[in-house]
Amino acid sequence: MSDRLALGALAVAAIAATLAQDVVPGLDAYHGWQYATGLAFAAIVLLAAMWRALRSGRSGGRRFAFALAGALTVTIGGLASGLLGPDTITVRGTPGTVTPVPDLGVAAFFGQTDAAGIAAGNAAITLRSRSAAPVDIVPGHPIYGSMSVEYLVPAAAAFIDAHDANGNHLTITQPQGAAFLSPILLFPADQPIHGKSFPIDTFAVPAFARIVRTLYFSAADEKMFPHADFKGPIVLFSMTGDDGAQVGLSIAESQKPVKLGGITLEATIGTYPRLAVASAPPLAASSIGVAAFLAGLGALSMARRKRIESAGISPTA
Amino acid sequence: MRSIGMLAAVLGGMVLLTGCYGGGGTRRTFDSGGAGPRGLAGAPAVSFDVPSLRGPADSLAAYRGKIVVMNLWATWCPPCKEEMPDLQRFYIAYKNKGVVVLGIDQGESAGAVRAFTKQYGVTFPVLLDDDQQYGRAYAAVGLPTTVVVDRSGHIAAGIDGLLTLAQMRAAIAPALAAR
Repeated sequence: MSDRLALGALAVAAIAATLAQDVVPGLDAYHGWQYATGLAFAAIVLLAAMWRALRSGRSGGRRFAFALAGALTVTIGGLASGLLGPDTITVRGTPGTVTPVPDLGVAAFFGQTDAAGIAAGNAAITLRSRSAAPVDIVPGHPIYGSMSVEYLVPAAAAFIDAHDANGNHLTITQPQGAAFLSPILLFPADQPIHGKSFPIDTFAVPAFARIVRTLYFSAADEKMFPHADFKGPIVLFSMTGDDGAQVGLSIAESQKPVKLGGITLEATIGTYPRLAVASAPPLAASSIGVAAFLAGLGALSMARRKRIESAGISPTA
Repeated sequence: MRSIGMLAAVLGGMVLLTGCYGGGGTRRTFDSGGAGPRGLAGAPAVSFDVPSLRGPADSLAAYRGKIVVMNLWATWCPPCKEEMPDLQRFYIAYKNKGVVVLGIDQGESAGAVRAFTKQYGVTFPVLLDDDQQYGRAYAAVGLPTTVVVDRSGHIAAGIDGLLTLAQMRAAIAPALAAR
């Protein structure tokens, strides 16, 4: 393998490792010393090679140096985001509430939603600050800052509807939750069962003095219930009275009402987003760097082709 | 000799760089909410269209230009029952002074709410907030919760727990004094 080919491969690897922060953000690996050492090593080798190519005084050397400078720009951006970018954070919010995100200097408005919105998992989060226009973040569309990326992570959620025997709608409260008057469960805690953790949340039906612990099982957990035939995620309701006495247990599929303790409970199971913030390389450095890298390689390739043609040799030969 | 020095410098630089590499390494999760309605003062009052006990959809925004005493309550809530007669008296006393009381039931059916309002002689407008949107948006940490909205549509005060007639008067006094 020639020196240039090896350096080209190293440049591509460094660019790929840096841009991975944009494509798959928030991984712990980006903040390990191994990742930093790898990028630092690549940056030093690329810098040395660029310097050597420039000093060669040949036009081909200058073109190769230009390509390496592009790769170096991207790599330094990746290193800088690890050093100067924000911590990896996840913010969990109840629909319709606001929470400050000091790391970004903004307030996050968690969008209102309803049962249909939970089922569709399409709720948005708006970031607001005093100095800039509001920014909506929707599922699947991350927002890039100077050294960060903000994106939505779908998390298990369930919208609870409760009715009495006469069909009267009942108030749902969450006395221990972040939002007292919310019928939307966000499953902030985990319950270990047989060595595996399952999301759990609790709500109350105060008109009936009932407390309902609710465990979430994803479709992949179906084997926990070998005799049941579920098509999607389910919840397990465990109802107690105010005095702690067990009233009953029931499993519910999404939008299929179940009766428990004189109450009809219906859970619309889906997702509600959490806001995630992770460090990411500056978009400008990545864009300019990749463009320079490709332009340098392109110029090098064209010059080589011209040289071969002027020598009267077929390029494919 | 020179290249050995260069190599040492490069290795030293790498060690220093990776040693500093702490930024972005911490993974944290935190929750919003729990602050209660008190912290909302000064914020724009959000509004949602919901059914009203009288029939057509209604909302907080429909009362813009008046001082609104928005009361979140439910029929099963003992302090709400205790507060209701004073709230009705307050409504009667101030309804011709540009102040409106807006009751917002949290998550209950019209039948139960209608029976309750009849029992307590409630005549102020009552909205039926099936999805408890107002309760969430106004950070209620219990019931009843009272939110005073000024004429410009901003929150003047958010109060958790039942209020006496005197406390209701005191709560609207600053908004009433502002012209």
